[in-house]
Amino acid sequence: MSAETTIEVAAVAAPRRRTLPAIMLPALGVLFVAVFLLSIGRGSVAIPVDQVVAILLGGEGDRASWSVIVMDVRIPRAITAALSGAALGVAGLQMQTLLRNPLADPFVLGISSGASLGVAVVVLGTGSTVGAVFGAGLGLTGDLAITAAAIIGALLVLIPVLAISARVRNPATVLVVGLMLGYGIQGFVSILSAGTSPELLQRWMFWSFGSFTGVTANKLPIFAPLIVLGIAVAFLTVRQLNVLLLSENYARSMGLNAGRMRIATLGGAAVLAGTVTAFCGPIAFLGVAIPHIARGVLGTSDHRLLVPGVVLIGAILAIAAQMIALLAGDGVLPLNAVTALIGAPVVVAVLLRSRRGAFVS
Amino acid sequence: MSTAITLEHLSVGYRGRGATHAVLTGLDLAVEAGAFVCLLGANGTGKSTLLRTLARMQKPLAGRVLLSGVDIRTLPQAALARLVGLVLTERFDVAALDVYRVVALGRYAHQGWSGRMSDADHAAVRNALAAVGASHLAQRDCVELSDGERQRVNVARALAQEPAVLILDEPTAHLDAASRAELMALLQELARGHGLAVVASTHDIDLALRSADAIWLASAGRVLAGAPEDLVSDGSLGRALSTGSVGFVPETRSFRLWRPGGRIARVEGSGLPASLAAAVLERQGFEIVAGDAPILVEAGDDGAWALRSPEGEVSGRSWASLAAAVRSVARAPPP
Repeated sequence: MSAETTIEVAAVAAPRRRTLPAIMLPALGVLFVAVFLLSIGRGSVAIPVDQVVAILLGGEGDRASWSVIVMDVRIPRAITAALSGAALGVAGLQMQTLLRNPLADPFVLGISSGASLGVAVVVLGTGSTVGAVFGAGLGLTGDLAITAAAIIGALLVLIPVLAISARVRNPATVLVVGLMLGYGIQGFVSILSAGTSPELLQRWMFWSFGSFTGVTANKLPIFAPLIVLGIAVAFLTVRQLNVLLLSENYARSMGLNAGRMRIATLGGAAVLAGTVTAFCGPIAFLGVAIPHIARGVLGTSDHRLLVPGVVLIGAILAIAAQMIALLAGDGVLPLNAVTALIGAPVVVAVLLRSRRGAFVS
Repeated sequence: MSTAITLEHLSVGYRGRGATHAVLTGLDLAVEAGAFVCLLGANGTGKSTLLRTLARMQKPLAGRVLLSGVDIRTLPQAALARLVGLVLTERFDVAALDVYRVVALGRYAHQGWSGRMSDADHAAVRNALAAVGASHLAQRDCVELSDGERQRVNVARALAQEPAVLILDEPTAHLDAASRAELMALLQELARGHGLAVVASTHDIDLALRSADAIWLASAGRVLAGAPEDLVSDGSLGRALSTGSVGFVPETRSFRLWRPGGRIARVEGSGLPASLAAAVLERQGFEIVAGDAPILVEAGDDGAWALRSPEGEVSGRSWASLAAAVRSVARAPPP
């Protein structure tokens, strides 16, 4: 084992680190701004980047319609994508550290399915609708009800998953259990959906493909604060996440109140996963992939750098995935198809790099 | 010297559904600041359970634990972390985090809400690294370290908490022979030089007896405490650690295999050659006696040996050849 470790380390360790994170975070910030601006110009109506910048700076575009498109459609879409990517990445990072499982994320462990169940109970059960996909629906109250149901649904899965992880040490086993939980919930949702109207069922199908276009400007005041709140929990607990890197027992011995930390992290992750799922559908694999990409790019496990890195990389990847989905025409290619193409290889790579149950990212 | 650890009528074990399973009971022990205590005992005698209870990782069944005179049940988690540093048997492995940052994690309980590292924090990390002789490893990634280096770093991380007490559960397990000796010497030095009360469980009887100020011997539900030599001379170590086929030899403070129906032999000579000749004979199942024996080996100072037995006399110059001669004698039917 030690020989194997030595080879691996010799290949990757020595030269980088140290200076790397200091350069990478601002670089990611610049990349984020570029991708954000670029994505605003993309869509069924192409708008040049210089016009986008002019409109954002308060000027008028060359065409009056561009202003409306940028301010009312494209910016909410880009902000939603950025916040969703950041949210899923942060929730994935929190779960990976808390569960000590490099394969953990809201989607893989069935948390998004739990949130879906919450949404299904409200939408399919009452016939009300959510998001652009579900139409205007009950308005603000309906959105709040569905979001609350999604967060509760996320928690209802997160708690047993945490209990199972405490008992089953092998991350791959926890992964399979999470997948099975997800399938079980899907089955339950299918039973719920039996007997609902075909139109509602079709909208449900589109919602489950995942989309960042559901959060219109009037929904952002609900969506954005919840995501910011969830991400704030991670920023405020970077020190606690760092001591948890060793193990929960070591974290306690160094003075961490592990019970309180677990509640804060679970609550934060459930809010993030539940809110994103309520508004954008169950987005696959971004949550598991983003933290690994961030560790690779920043070359550190230190959460003080990792949390901002995950936020930026999550935002960039989600916007990029949204742009790729648009390539095939407006809203035809499901977002989940794109995110699976990004995330699935990362999961496989992590599985293959694991040695005897010990995971090194 | 003040009392760093006090155990009052302590019973440790597990609470099951309804029933409790006591592992060690009636413990009234104390450790002074600056003392190094080794906890010995066969597997399953409750060493880890006792250490976990001292570190408040599990509740005592009865009695209480005082650290620096304070009942640990009354302490908030962070205050406990400033009193006791812990080294566990759990795998200590963090990828992509350098040694300095890992040791700095030990400052958690000393830092304010912002988590900014103060000058005092940096000084504590540097002192901890220096105390374990790992200052040169500060910039290395933890996964690059050897097992011995990693254990030193783990001790440094606990030291960065600036505790009064250091508790270590089998810190020498999985280490090579040199690293084991180095680590025990380090623990002794931390007690002597830094005034810590150090309690470590270990299976390295020989190293423990040579470096510890006191031995806690867990056996049959009790803990016997005393100076290493007292436990050797009154036979408690031998009784606690010997089994049907393995015996503890007080004179050499080490174990040897008992061979039923073993034969006896005598060694003449002095110094290293005599003890090596005796080692060859013991390995072949002979018990070394001072009196008359049918087998006699003379070990010369120049490394030459001569073996006299009822079959005659042979001699040679290497220990391998003595071993071969002893084997052929041992195969011959007893007279």
